[in-house]
Amino acid sequence: MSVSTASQRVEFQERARQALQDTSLQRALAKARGGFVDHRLDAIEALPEFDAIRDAARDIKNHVLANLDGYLELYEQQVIENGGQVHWARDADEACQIVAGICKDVGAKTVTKGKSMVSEEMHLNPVLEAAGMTVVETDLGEYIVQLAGETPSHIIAPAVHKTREQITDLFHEHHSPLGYTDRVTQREALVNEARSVLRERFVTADVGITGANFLVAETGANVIVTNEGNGDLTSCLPRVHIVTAGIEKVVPSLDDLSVLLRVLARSATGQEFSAYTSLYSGPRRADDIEGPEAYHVVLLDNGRSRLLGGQYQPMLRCIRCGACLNHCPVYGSIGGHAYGWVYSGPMGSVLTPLLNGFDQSLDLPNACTLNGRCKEVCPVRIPLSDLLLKHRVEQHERRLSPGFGRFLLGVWAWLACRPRLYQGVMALPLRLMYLLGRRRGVLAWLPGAGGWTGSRDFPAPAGRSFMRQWQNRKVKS
Amino acid sequence: MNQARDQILGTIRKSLAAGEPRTLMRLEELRSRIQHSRPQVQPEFDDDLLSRFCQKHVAVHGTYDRISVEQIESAVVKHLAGMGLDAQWHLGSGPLLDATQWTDSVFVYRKGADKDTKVALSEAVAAVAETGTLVVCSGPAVPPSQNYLPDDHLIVVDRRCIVRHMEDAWAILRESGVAKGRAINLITGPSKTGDIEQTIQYGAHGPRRLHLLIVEDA
Repeated sequence: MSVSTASQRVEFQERARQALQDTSLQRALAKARGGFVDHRLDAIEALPEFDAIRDAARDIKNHVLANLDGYLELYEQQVIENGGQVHWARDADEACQIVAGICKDVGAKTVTKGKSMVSEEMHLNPVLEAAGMTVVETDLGEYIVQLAGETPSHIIAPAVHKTREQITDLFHEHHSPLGYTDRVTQREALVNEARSVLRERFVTADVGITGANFLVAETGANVIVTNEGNGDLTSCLPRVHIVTAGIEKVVPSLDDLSVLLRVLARSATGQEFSAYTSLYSGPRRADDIEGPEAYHVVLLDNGRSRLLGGQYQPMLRCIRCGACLNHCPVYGSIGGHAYGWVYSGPMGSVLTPLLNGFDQSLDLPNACTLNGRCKEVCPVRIPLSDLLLKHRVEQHERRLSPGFGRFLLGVWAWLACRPRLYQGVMALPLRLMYLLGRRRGVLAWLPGAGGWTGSRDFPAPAGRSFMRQWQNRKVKS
Repeated sequence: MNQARDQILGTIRKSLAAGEPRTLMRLEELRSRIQHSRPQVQPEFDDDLLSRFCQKHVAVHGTYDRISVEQIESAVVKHLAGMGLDAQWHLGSGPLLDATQWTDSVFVYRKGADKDTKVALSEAVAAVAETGTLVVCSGPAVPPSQNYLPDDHLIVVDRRCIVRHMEDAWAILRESGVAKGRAINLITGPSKTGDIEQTIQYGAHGPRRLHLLIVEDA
């Protein structure tokens, strides 16, 4: 094991430990828990066709991925026909340079941003700031985490880890110099204050950067789905509109888009449809009285093209709804930051090692109970828990998993291949554990398993193995 | 830049084991799939479209009046007066709005909205009964800022523009050629956010209120 993988491991475990002890975080997570899950369930129960639509959504995504080069070319042609420009970026650095270059060319001072996970993946903000620009996140959740100097901890609820008290402190600290000297604590007042502060930013920005939930090959449009309307103000008002998107975001037609929109909002927030779904294509047309003078799309690969055709290809179907995060007990306990990169929860645990390298974030595929809820709720039927298992197998085969664990597994495998010996060796500890836990049926303490028994009991085994009991019964009958 | 493009497309082809570049015939196949695109699985519902649309619109915190075509101005004035607002607004465009003769008692601004804009009046190209969604398309006289900067957004809907599913709205857009305009804005209720304690607050960045005037006799 290399030094870097050892430090990754310590970092994740340390971050998870800190998260579990962070009372503010635990309070915020407790407040969020259940809400998303219940709303999603209500929305799905109201739509008998949901499973059929999910199948159709999966099929569309599979069809696109199998023909991705062709659809990207068709999409590009449409963007150019609409008067826009398409830029291709092999990795995050290249994408950042392209965006920074466009901003510098137009002499941008202020840049507003709609929510874009790909721009988080690129680590775009520091690059623009280093070039002397003021970058303002406009999604309320993204704005809050930007003020806090943090990163989003959830795909669709970036500030889910923040309590109202923390938001009050942040706003008071950052808005006081702007003349908002009253310390506001109520939700409505907080939202209004942010609205007022950000409005000034929207109308003065030189460049607006948004992401894309989808790219439509039929019309060359990027689609953004929001509830706040910040993405639209970011798209419509500045002189230049830049879209950052992963190459897998393209869909063939508007009809295909409808299928995906029907599962997106329901899976994300439990809404039938988000307040604003917008399609933007190209710069303002010749006779338009407003709209950006230039329209750029930056298509980011960053390792995605390598995943096609392989066992992890289904991960590229992901539409970033966050349902797997909302249904994951591990995410629900430690929040998003412990995962260490922009994507968290089950989809993050699958995607992060694929994009950042297998020797990075080794713990992520193992921070999973294999309960399978993520796979069950995925709107495009990504077998997330199966992919996490594949990661574990690959870690083992590449000898990336911890040596001691592999040694124990080896011992167990050797024993398990020798049934007679296995039963002989297991009989004594089974008997002992049975005797120890006989009275309560559980063990509150177990040598060498303090990590388990420290927070919960260990179920006591039946004193004899299944094989032994079976044999006894056969003898009796 | 072209190098990056070629390399990315090359890796995609290699990964997909397609090897060489797609032939023009393959591209034509994909293009043809797009051109012959059809609606796929759609939610079924029996209600008459108008009541379904109204019910869905109200469910997302919208309000509406059902009016006749000559009541457009008076309905707007009355709605604004009810909130203590003056009879002035930023005006969009559409068959119904363009045909309306505004009286001297109201003030209309035919320009993009700004950060202090209180009210805008738009016309929907289509309205989707499935989700209670309004479709507003940008054009020379329809600046999209009017959809997002005002506190109050009013939208006139011709009852005949209410369609069943989202795909029916696409069909209208394709036919009228606006599918390829700069902006197609699907609006479903007023602006909102759940970013503070996962509790919904209306009026995040866009309109605080959305009011429809459904014209029944156009």
